Amino acid sequence: MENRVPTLKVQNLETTFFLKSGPFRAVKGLSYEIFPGETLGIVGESGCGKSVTSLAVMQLIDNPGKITGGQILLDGQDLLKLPTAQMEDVRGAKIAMIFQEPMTALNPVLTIGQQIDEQVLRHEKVSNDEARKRSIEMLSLVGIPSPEERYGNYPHQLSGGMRQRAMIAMALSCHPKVLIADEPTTALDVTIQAQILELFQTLQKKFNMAVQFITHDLGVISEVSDRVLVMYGGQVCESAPTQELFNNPQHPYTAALMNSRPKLGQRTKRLQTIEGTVPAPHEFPKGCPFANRCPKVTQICWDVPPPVTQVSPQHIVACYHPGVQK
Amino acid sequence: MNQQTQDQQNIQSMEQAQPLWKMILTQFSEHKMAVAGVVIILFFILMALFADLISYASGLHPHRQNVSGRYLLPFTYSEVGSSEKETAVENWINQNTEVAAQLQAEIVGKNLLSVSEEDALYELALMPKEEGQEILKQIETVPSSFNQMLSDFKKFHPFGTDEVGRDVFIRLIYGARVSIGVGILSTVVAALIGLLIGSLAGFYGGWIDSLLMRLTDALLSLPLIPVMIVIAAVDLQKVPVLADFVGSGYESIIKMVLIICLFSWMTVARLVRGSILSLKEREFILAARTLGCQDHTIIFRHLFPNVVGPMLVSLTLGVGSSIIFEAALSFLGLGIMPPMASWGNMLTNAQEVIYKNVWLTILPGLMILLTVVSFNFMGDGLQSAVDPKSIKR
Amino acid sequence: MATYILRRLIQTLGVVILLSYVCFYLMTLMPGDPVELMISSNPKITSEDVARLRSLYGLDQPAYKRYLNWVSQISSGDLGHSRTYRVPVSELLGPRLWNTFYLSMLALTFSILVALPIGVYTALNPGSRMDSIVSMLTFFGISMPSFLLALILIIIFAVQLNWLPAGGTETIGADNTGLAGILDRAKYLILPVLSLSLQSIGSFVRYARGSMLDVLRQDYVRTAKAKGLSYHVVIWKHAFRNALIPIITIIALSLSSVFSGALLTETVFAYQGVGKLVYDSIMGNDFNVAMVSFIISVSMVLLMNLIADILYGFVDPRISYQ
Repeated sequence: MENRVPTLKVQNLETTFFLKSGPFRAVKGLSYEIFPGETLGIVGESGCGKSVTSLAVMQLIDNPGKITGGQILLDGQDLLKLPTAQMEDVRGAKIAMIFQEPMTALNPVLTIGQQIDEQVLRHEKVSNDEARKRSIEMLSLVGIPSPEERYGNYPHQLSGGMRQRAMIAMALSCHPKVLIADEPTTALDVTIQAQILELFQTLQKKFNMAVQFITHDLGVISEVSDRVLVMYGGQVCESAPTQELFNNPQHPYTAALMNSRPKLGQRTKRLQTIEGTVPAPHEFPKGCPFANRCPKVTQICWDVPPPVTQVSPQHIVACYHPGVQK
Repeated sequence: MNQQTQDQQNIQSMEQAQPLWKMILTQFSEHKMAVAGVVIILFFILMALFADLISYASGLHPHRQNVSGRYLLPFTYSEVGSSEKETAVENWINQNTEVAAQLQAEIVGKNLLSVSEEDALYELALMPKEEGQEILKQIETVPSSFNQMLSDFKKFHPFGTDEVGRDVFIRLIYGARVSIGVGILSTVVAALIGLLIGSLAGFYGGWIDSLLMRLTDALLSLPLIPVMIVIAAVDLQKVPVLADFVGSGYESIIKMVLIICLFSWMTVARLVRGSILSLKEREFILAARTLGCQDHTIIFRHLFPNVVGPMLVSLTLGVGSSIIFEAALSFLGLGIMPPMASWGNMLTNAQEVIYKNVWLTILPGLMILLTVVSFNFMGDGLQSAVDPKSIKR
Repeated sequence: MATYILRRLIQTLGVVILLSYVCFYLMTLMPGDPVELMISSNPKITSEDVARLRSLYGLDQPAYKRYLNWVSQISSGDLGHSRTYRVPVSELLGPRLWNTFYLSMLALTFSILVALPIGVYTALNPGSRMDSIVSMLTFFGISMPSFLLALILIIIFAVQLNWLPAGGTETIGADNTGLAGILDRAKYLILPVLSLSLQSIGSFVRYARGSMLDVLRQDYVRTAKAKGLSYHVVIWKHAFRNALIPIITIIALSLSSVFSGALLTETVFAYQGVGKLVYDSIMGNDFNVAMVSFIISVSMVLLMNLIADILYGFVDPRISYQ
């Protein structure tokens, strides 16, 4: 296991938004890696920097945001050092991305077929006919019925679930090594959600992709991911294989997340919430970002950011007071 | 720790609710051009309000013509011709026989002028102003009406004079009264019409809505200037109800306001209808309904406060376009009728006048442009101030 | 689609008929009907003569009857005679319509060609120095009445510099043909087109910028970038095509204001277009010409609006004309 080479390796990633009120670091020294055929789930509340992280990997952060430090290695090559034109070659071909809103992520004035063809033609030396063939093949692969017909449809003629399938077909059309899925099922109905998740797992096996799956839904995470990374305030709180994290959460924030979701057979108990709210950009504590909401907070938590410590070979946590009192 | 408590205080002060108008005002004042626009508009409005006072203080009159002082450039003096001076003096002597005789006697008696008594006042009036003043200084009591007459003979024209020798400066000021007045009045009336039509359409829906909106769309797609010309050419004496207004001296102003507001209510109507339609679906209206509120209560209490902001914006922008409409129609000779001055009708003869004195075109034009730009900037500032999405922390 | 066009055509026809009646009625309220003019030119006229003349011209009948008479006369193909020009109205109208068409279409094309690139450029560089300068200028553009700009252009280019003619349609008596004729016409068109364009340029820039900014924030633009498409393709193929949809609406809506402006510019430049004809005939009590030219030019504008609405469907596939 340890000898495998990670497909995507992110080291000390730092992104900063240069706002009018001053620079704000949305991601502060984040590191993780994803191996071929593996799914890394990234969980966190909105505003924790998980979406910024995935956009950073694609180098798609819009102004006033910038990547201000770290490395993003794809098969050992640092993407941040690539010139723009070469990065464009990487996008869509080696790393593909699926977004949250299938309703708005497809261009309304181009047909589904045109949009998939475009990506294939951009990255591969194929004729228009071959591109079309590939597009229809991809559409049927993601389970869209009568793909020839759908090929000529506009996005508004498709249902939400179908659009997300089309989006997946497009993302996978060039057989990328890394797939970044940013809350791909959040906007969908629960039944459709399950279908899409299943589709994900099948396709991942088929193409042996490294998948970075971003969500705030722990249920979804437990289903699809091999390992989980919990983020808060632009930093990693805890990272562990899925099973281990759910059984043995070390960080108070992870524990709080677990407690705040409903479980079967606990009807009498009130749902627990996490005290307080995520601070505004410039109001994060100097030390641990979670200090103002943490039940175990001590003076050192306020002043010095906690170091990352190893709990077990694949389990790390950034906290001065790890472990759960039962 | 200290730092932390201070942060807490900052956050608290930030969370304290500011009154809405204060937030809007702060936001508005960040838009520099909008503030400049407000200053310019206020300045023009003040000028228009005090037009009579300015006219009195400067001795300039908007309708007084002077054949010998036509097409004067800015910063020049005009002098009344000698024959006009003589008639004026003659009139004055006839009106104030005793005072005139006294004055004549004093001038000749003190040997200030070596002419006969009958000619003394004429001589005084015809000589250059400065010399005349020197002589008058030595006389104990100069009648104020005589002084007034003398000073009327020579006038300073900061903006020059027009094709019949009227002072451009004072006409621009009186023109501001008409142009801005017509602009504001017709926009307010149009907004009221739009409010009525929009709320009828939005609130009752059904055939009322489709009828009114068809009308709105039809009017919006018409080329307005030709249509306005047709209406403006109508002789009000032939129109049954409006015939009463004819001859009141304000005929052309009333006509202008009527025509402009007839074709400017559509934007407001659409706006009001749109907001009402979107608000109708919200819970608080349903709540008001279930509580048994009557239709008009719902309209006035709940819906209007929600459309006030956007309406204010469209009102401000509307004044700008109303001023343009007035100027265009008056320019074509169908709007405000002379001798009353408006910025538009000051441009009526511009095509011929530009060969004699370009300022006669540039100055009224500049006033129109400045005013309209100011209203547009103000509208823009209001828009970003009223729009909650643009409110920054 | 066909039913949609048909319904819109019927609606437009309804507006035209209603408008023509209103216009007809208003014209009866204008000073100086033919008999009034005769009275003023012949002081010896008796009141019996007046009554006889009134019934001869049908002026003693109510307005709606006269309107119906006029309509039946028009629909038989007889547009009547012009009193001031002494020619049939139909002869007068053709070249005037073409002249206005050249003027407004050139102005519209020019505004679009200038405004769209500027709008897109400023949207791509929001907050830049160029952006704030352009936004300043657009405010002055939309606030400048076309007739005022026309006067200023005449002062600068005709009176002061003497580069271009101050007015007219073509050089009288020159009788140029071919290229020389076109160049001659062009010389007379430059200033009118410029003065007619500025206001639309101002508003088009504002809409193009706003619409483009709006589109650039959309998710599908990010998707396009994520596909590895080049900046150029993302901007023009994905963003601009979507931004164009609301811009087209604005352009279609501006047709009527361009025609309004054309009337004013034609008057200032003494350009022989249909707008000037409408104005001159109303001012000169040339009743037949006024009615026909007004109705025809308004119908043209409405028809153009209709065409623009239909073309709209080709840009936005979401519109289905039901």
